[in-house]
Amino acid sequence: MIDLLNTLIQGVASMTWKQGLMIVIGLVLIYLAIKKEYEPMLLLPIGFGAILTNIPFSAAVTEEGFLSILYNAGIRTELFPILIFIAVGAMIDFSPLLKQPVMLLFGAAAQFGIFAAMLLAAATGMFSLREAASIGIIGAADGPTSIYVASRFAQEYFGPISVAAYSYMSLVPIIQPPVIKALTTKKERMIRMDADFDVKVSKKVLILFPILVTLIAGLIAPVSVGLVGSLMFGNLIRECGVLERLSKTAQNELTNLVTLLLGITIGSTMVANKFIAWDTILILGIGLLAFVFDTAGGVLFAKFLNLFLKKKVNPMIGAAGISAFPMSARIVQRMAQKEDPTNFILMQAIGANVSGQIGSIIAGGVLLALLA
Amino acid sequence: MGVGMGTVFAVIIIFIVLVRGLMSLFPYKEEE
Repeated sequence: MIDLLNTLIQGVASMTWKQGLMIVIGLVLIYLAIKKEYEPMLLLPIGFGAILTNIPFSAAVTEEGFLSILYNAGIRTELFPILIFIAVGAMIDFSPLLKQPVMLLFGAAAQFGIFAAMLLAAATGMFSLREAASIGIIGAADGPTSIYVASRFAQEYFGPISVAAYSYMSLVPIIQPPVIKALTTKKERMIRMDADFDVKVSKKVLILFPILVTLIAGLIAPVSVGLVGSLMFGNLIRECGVLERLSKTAQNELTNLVTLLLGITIGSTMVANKFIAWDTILILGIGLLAFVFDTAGGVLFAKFLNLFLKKKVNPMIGAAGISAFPMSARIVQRMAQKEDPTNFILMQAIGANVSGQIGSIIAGGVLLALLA
Repeated sequence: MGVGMGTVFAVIIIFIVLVRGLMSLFPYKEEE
């Protein structure tokens, strides 16, 4: 009888304060997902995964536990991020970018935060260059790229990196506006931008674009083929016009299913002993700075371009060069309308934002190639 | 950092040229 009682209270008796804290963090994530609707599709499974993992003697994370199986099958093999890329590719409409290709420059400039944060992480002396790159990539504002790079370069810090990447993505509306405001004047925020929205993109261009981008990126950095190729494969399915069923499946069922499994698997990496450490706090801090640097890099690049342009660009467009789509473009449009309700720069911001999605995977590919 | 950002910009510029080329080679036609 006493043995039975001992077995029953074993879990409670063995609970450490760190496990308790992780369970509280899991509950907070679930609260943010449900009450505040911050990326609920991810934060809720992540939060629940964190709870499942930190229950003492949890059967979910033993060698045969379902979370361990999901981790080994989906993260260690890079399968989940690749499937997410296919799904994202099927959802992206590259037309706004193809109509105004110059916007790609902003998609490049706003990756500044990745490299700045990487440098910062390496300078602390606590991380190897590969780990620092995985921390910097949080600034890509692109969850799957962060997971892809971290799963290759920083398995040990996979939990905090993926949690930071997804949490900060949901906080873009809070992180970006003060940075944009600090770096621009009211006059700059009121700049109007003309655009020829009547330009139409032919089907041939829409089909050839993903194929040629894959070929070029692959030939320059073969290691990036997984990243770029899966995104562009998804996009080709969307644009080819003969695979509507597959396109819809990729956009809906595949996205939902992989997101569900990915979230709970990320949560399972939030193991108390590894997660509650100074390293984690540092990673969260540097990850936040990466987002700030990205925004600043985009805005300052636009201001730099304005030194040479006759027709000035609204420098806020630069901030939309991050991968958080369409959140970032909406923020820029909202800020522009706050200064002048008749100013519409949404199309340009969308163009920059789509460019950011390409920019972030290129930056991820560059890091993989340079540090392979 | 310079190498990283430089490579990103170089690839992006190639893509800009690619898009401009594609757009002029295959302009939109009404029958599409």
